[in-house]
Amino acid sequence: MSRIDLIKKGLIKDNPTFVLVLGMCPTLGTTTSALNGMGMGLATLVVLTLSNMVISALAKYIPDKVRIPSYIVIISAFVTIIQLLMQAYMPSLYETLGLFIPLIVVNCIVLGRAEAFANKNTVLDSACDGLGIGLGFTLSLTLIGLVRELLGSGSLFGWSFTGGDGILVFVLAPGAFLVLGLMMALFNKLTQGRI
Amino acid sequence: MAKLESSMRNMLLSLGAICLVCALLLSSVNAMTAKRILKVQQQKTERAIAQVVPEFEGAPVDTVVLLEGTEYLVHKAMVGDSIVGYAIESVSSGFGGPITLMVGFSGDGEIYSTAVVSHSETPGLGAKITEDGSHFRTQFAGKNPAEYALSVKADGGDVDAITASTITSRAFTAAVAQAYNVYLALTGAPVVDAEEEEPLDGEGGFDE
Repeated sequence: MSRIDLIKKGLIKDNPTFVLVLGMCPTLGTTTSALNGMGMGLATLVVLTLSNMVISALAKYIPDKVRIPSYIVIISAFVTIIQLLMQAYMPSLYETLGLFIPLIVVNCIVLGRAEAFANKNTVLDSACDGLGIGLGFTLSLTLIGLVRELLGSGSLFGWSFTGGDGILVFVLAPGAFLVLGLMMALFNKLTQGRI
Repeated sequence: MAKLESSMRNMLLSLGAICLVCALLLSSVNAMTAKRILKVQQQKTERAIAQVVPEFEGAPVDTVVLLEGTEYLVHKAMVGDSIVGYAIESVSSGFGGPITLMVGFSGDGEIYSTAVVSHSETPGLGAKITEDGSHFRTQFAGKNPAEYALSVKADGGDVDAITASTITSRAFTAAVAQAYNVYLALTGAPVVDAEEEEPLDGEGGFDE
């Protein structure tokens, strides 16, 4: 599989949200608006790509029985470093995303890709896999956020076009489940028989 | 090279080494960014002060007020020798964690404006308290808490809560009310609600 294919498969074929159904907690929690969803997706993309690379480089030196704690230490170190750097150099971005950053540690996509891909492939392939899955995650979260924001607050990317409030339930947790379920159904319908 | 065998020695060495490297990395990044993060936070406080008091000259004068065992930081905005406003930092616990507010009072005890310094409320719901210019935020401006009941309408007060965010609105209002008590303690005026508040025990007291 070429590296371009590795990146592409994360978008549709191995889409983490709609196909692999991984990382549901941040998906449901952070998609209250398109921007929040996109921010969470991009932050995950960075962590996922970096941790995939490091884990694939170190895989040979990590005995099997301690691989999970080792991966978790590496992932959480990355997340904390990114959080500190963001706080210091991009305070406005940190204000929007700050809440979600620590959540990345427990995002099972990151651990899942380390386990399923990075520890048996080369560093470059793992970087491409991380990039692809990260992009797929960003795309799905942005789409879910877009729909929830549109219905729930009557705005698009923060730009409001209705006077009052939207259908509030879509901003709340039940709306997250509704939108996620319906979009998953739509995704399956559109890709039926092809993946 | 084959994968390292899971012997006790290998496991200890490899996990230990990973932890050590991560700890070193984290502490160096922390040392590198700590100063800048502090500076960013100070700038944020300064911006919040400028936002909640009338225009002032020079740097605000800081005072610490002790009320019921809690220390409150009060920034006095001066023009020449007279005080044009007070910016009081106040914390209350919201839906998702503490909400830190900067509440500004003009010299005559009216609320001038408010600013959210930090919060962890739900995006799209409670986080609406950060929207400057929203009805919830502007309703406080120009009100004198002496004749304006600082609690949400559901609790019999005068404050319109944010839809579906009563807990957050309640916490925000409580923080404003707390700031007002600090203001009263600071200016030496009688405290309105004797049940809840006791007069200041001297430290940091100030007469205009």
